[in-house]
Amino acid sequence: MSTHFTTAERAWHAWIDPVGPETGSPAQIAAYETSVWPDSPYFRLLAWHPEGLATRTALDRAIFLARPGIPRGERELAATVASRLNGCELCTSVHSRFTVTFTKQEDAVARLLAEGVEADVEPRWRAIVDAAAALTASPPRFGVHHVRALEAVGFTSADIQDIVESTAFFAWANRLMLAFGEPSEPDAADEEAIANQRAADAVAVDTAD
Amino acid sequence: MTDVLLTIAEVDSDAPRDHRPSVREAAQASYEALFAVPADDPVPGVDRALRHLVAARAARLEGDGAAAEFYLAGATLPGAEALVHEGADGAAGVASPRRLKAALRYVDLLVSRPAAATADDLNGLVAAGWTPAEIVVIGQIVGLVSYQVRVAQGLRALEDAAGGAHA
Repeated sequence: MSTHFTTAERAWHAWIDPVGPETGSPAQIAAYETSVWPDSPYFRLLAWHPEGLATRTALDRAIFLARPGIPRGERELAATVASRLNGCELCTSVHSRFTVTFTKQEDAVARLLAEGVEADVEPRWRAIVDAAAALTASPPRFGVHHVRALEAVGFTSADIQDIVESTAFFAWANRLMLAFGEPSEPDAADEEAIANQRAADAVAVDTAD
Repeated sequence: MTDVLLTIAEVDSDAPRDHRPSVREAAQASYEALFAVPADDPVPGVDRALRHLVAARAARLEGDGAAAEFYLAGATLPGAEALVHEGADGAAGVASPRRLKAALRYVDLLVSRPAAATADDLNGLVAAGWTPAEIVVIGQIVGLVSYQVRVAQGLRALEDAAGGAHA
């Protein structure tokens, strides 16, 4: 069984200096304060290029929060699969928690984390997991057979596009999280950052239908 | 500006994106934020040509010839094509300045084995002369390209499944 991937909260520490309230330009500070986790070390680091962060935050929210589209829980499932395969412990923790919140499929999510993407899941999830896994490979290996399998469980081409977007965004997110710092079990020094993440995630849950 | 994903995917239509125009617009804005480098860009040390070189190398490693070709066209620096094809360890890479070589090596790591990255890899970039802001821009470009090539592949597969033939 995996001891690495968990739905438990994780802290994250940057390997190079993030922007801070003392050192940042007004644009840099605005970019991290309006990010998905305001003031977190991860988004303060990305704020070195504020336009890059601000536009990426808008894309994140457009893909995961905006309506119409497939249910939020299935978008989060695709993000979880990408994160699990890429080996991003923090992204997996966050998005597996969201998947459980929105789908109530706690056992299936636990199996995915512990056993990987070949774990037993029901047919609709199987099609999503297989598609997200193929798209996450580098180079990606998503093909017509994945489209057919998704169509067979009831997805339209617009729905499939949502699965593609949710997975593809995490090819991006996982790489940044993995390349710029590392996760850890939260300790007392992380208390403020974790509380901040928790509050922002609660808002993101309420934002969904 | 022409939609970059439509260009890279080489599809006749991106109708599967029609139901959520905010995603299409945000994807385009993310591209322009990193590649339409304004005079007052906060990270001028990674210039326009280098940004395109990084993107072209990432696209090539992801196996997306159309995306690699698209970005290579903007990589207006000597030996760009060889650097994109062979990376830091090719003849052109080995002959390159340390700073450029270190960046290309980092691109390869980030595309192909991101979970293997450690603090030492970032230390290597800093030792080769890259600032935190420049490292963030390089990482964001690799990340954006990893997103773009997957959305492009999705659009191609959807078009193929619908019986169309992309160029």
